[in-house]
Amino acid sequence: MKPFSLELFFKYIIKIVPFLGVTMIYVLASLLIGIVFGFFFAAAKIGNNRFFKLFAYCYTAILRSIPSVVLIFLVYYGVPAIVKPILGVDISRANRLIFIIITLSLYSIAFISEIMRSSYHAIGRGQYEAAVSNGLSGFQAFYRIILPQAFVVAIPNLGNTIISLLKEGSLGFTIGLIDIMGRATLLNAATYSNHILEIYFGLAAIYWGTSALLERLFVYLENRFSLNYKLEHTADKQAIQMEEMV
Amino acid sequence: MSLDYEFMKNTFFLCLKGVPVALNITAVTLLISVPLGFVIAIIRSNKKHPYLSKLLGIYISYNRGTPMIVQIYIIYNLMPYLIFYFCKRLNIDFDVYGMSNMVYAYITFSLCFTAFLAEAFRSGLGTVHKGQYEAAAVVGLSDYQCYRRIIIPQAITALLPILCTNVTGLIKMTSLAFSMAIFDITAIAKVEASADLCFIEAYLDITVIYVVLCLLVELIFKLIEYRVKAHRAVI
Repeated sequence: MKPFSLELFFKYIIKIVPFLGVTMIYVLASLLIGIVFGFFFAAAKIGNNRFFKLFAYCYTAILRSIPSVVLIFLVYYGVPAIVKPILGVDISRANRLIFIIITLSLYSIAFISEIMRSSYHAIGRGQYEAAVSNGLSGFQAFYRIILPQAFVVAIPNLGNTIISLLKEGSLGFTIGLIDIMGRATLLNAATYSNHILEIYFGLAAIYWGTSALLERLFVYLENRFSLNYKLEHTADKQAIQMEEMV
Repeated sequence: MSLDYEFMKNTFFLCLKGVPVALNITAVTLLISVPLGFVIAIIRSNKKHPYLSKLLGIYISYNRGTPMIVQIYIIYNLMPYLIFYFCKRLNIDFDVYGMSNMVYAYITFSLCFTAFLAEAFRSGLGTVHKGQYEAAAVVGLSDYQCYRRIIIPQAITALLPILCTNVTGLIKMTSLAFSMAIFDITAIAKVEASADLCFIEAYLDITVIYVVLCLLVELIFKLIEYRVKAHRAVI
């Protein structure tokens, strides 16, 4: 085995990085779908309808215990088999990106509905009751009082979800998706595994950098939207200082 | 869409043979990484070793920031080289290529899982109020006594659910052992599926197996949690 070459390491990073776009597409798309549908699932978990509640909880429990490599294959072979008799279209040759987005969305719905539920409960019923007793309608109370507070509570967990989506999506290469992982696999095959360490260390560096950046971003967002920040940067700050002085 | 039920039944029992392999990896990994993770969590949560905890922080951030499959590829390809090199340096006669793949699996999963557990345990230890440490120190307890008698009994109710999610995560992670040429549940299903071209059936089978395994683990942890809580109430 040859010694590790730094030059090759950087060369392969430059070759892999352009495919980060594909990775970001499926991460963001599945996050978006997860937020939209996760909202309904969270509503089902919080709400009073027994059937919807059971369904949402079962869905989360099952999805959380399926390994991503299994779910990817299940979606890759299962979705075309279901779609074909219904719509009469054969989508088994469609872009692999679609299958990865479907898989990750299934996961993110489970994760995000659970995040939304827990952050809703973290706010407490007192806030809702106070809002309603002040004359706000149910929708207004949710939209103006609960949602802004629950959002701040949910930020760190959303950050974790987006990083885990990034990592789970790396298994897309098993069905032939060319994202950064797929690109690295191709490069490795093209060089007959001669530069395997340089390629995969480069890939690890890209993943590490991306998730570190995302983590920083979410820490920043959390600080930006938390109550302390607002108090520090508005007129309230003066009021607080005055009180302290007195 | 029609499923081949005969194939499904046969494959299900074939795949069950992979369950001991997956549980084997899970158990050994847990045995290695629970104590290690705990030590790392303690080092990182008190401020006595600033440089060491920085270094451990980098290790944890690497493990949390890169996908498992990339780590597997790196360690699976790097380890034989390193072992070979050291054995040559120290003049030890050791057949690197005769080493079982399971050993690599243990190393890879332990390295990754220790980082996850260290972070999880740290947040669990964070639920215990700082005053408790100070009170223990004032009373004259040593560090070991402090953790053994004061901190861990209080943190355990917060630690158990965290450990539970991580253990189910580990069982899911073992599905990647196929990339190290280990015949676990997923690998058997893959081979069976591509032999008969019954992909959906095979993957449905192992989905059921994984879901049942994970739900069983959750149930066990619920029982332990219940016992611990009952125990605490008596005290």
